[in-house]
Amino acid sequence: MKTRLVSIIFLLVSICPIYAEEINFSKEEVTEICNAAVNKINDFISYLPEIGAKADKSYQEKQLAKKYIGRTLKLFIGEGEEYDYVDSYDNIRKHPPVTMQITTLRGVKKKPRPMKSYLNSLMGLPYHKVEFDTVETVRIVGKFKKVPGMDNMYKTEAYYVQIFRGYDREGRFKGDRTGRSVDIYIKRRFIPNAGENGEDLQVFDILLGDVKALTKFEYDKYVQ
Amino acid sequence: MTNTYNNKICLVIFFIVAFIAVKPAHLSKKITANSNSDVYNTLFDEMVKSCSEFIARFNNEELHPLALDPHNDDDKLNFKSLFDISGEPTCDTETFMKKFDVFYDSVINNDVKLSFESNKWFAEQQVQFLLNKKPITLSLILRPTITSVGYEAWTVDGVRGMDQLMPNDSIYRFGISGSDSDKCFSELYDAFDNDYKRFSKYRGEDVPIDTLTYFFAMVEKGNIKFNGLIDTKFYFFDVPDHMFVVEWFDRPTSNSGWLISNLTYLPECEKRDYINKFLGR
Repeated sequence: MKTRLVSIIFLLVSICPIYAEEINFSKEEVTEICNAAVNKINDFISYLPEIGAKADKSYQEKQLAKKYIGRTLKLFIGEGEEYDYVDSYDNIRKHPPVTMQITTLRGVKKKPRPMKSYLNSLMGLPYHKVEFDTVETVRIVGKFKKVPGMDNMYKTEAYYVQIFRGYDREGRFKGDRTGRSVDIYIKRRFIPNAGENGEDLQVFDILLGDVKALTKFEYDKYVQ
Repeated sequence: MTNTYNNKICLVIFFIVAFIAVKPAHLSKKITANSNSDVYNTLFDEMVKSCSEFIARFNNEELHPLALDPHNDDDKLNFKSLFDISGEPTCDTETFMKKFDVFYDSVINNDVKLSFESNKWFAEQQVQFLLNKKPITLSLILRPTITSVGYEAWTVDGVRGMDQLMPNDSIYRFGISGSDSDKCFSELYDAFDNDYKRFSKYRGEDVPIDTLTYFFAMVEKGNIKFNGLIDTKFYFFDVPDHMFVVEWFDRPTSNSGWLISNLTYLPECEKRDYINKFLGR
């Protein structure tokens, strides 16, 4: 009888429509996710100068830059390659590689390009030295949506201001400040008995997704 | 002459009032090269950066865990910041304020909350295609939906601008002779051989061509090639007796991002017809 009841409940649960799942993280959890996102974005930003600096790279410098390209791609979902995903109709499909959108000098947004191709193009930037300011804060303004087909995986968008400066050999620099958005994939997992009082410890692992340029606030021409 | 002068004065007054009404002046003015980065961060907070943020600000349920500025206490002022007030005014200040007040009262009195699943909003995405290597622009009408397996999705429910691609939908028609039934419709040989480029003219006078089906066929057969995305607009029909359009405004002021560009009075009884026309049905 009990088994039959459990079966009926299971059947009922499985045929009920599942509504678009959102999760309401607590304020503390959102702050933790924001901090984890800041760290991940700053990892990304800190690798870019290693790839972009010096227009005329030696063989060793090129090899080092390639190593950093590999490291950077590991911060992103799919690691710069196509990846499997489940769409809104439960179909398993191939997702194109993550993309990066850049702006032109006039602030016009260009078609996003695959991250791998963007990172490789950074190696040819015409600067002697490249700087990106680290990000102090990110804003998360939307909701956390469950990623179809993946347990405990949620997606949202984070927003940040990126400050860039490129120096020529004479030490003059030009730069810009761009408002950006980045897709954030949040994997929630629990480490058994790792909490202060022996309880399960909740941690958030972050992977980055497509990076978009929202607006260019300012563009500086070469200044001494 | 005097009228033109008065109009100009009114325009200037409108801008001044609008700027003061929405945000402190230091945020509304254009950021200069000497501004410090805090101003950029504040400016970025004020900007309506996504459609989700627009909905959250409209519903007065924004999530700003690390925002530098706390919420503005005045909900109505915060709500007004969702309008494009820095652009070209479409009416004088007094008319705008009247329209705004009626709209705001309707939102508050009817407790309107925007949501993905409300089924009362649409997106219009302009897409550029190539037809015989020449660019053409079409508008896809997308509708938010909850799929049968319970996830959110946008579906293509309409297309606009197909007039430039579709057969001329005049009443001009061809017909197969009435007696051709006796010859197993042999006139079709001639129709397919010589009239295949205007074969749709053989349809009945009361049979329309479904634009969306025609569009899907053109894409799937490769007759038109995707060449890029252009502008996006959102159309909301959630507020009783109103519809409004939300568009992206990229400018270095606090009044930027996804903002209401057009607010129209639309009686509830006329909404269904409007939406059907909007979907190209």
